[in-house]
Amino acid sequence: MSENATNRYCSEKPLSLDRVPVGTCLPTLTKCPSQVEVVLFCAAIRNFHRLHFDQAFTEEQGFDGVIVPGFLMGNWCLEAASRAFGPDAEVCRLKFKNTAVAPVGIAYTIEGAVTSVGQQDDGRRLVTCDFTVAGPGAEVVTLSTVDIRLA
Amino acid sequence: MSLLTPEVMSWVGRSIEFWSDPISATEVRRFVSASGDDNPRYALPETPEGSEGTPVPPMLYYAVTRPLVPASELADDGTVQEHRPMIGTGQTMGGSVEVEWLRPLALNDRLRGVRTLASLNEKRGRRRDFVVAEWITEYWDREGALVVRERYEQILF
Repeated sequence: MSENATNRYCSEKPLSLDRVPVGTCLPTLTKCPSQVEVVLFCAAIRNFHRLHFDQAFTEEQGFDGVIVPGFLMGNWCLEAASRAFGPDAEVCRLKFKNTAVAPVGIAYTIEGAVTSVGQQDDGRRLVTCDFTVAGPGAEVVTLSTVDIRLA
Repeated sequence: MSLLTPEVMSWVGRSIEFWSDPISATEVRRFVSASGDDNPRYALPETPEGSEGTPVPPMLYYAVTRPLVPASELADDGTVQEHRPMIGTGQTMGGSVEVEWLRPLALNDRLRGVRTLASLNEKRGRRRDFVVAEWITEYWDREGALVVRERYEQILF
């Protein structure tokens, strides 16, 4: 991986998977998904649930507007981990749970921190990070855990 | 009245098997552009030569194994009426997801999945009663090696 490509991708100097201590905060990622972006993502993962594109249907269901898909918010957490540790890092586990409805068209912050470090059988260090995805007013819409290691 | 009728409960333990198409460069480009994650790890070679083994975004396991069906075969909420018990209105929403990748996915991987309904549990919600379906899915590559394990909670109401 070229240094230039890594520098362009990472929001700051990549953290070292071999040395990062528990408690380290990762750079915050911000996303403001538009309706178009949500439709593109749903098409890319073949998710055609009307909650993600049909305003009238969504209102019938009792929601204010169309909703960001959970897999997109899970992927934001993968992205936040990858941008923190750089493209040589490999995601090996993701867990996420949607805790509130996430409307389209507002800004979300994805904040994470290293919560544990361990070692795999092959000697590689395994770093676990916990993330929150929060909307305006710091309302948490997704909780997530990502395990990451050196590729 | 319980949503969990004997007919619904008879689904617990049932499995389905499915195959993906090989993960193509087009699937990768579509996912990368849609997700906004331009990680250079997933940059594709400019020519097909030597592209074998190029890592792809991990979440593509989900995209490439979702069935593509005509709109006439979608449920009213837009979801695929695939292997699942019909509960209440027949509508669904995603709950929690846990995925483990035993190795990175790569270009041209073709996945065989086996999805099993592990449990059904009825819950009382503020707006309505619903059922949480726990699905366990394992994905193998063409050589028969386990590549991905997934536990998915689906909300049925």
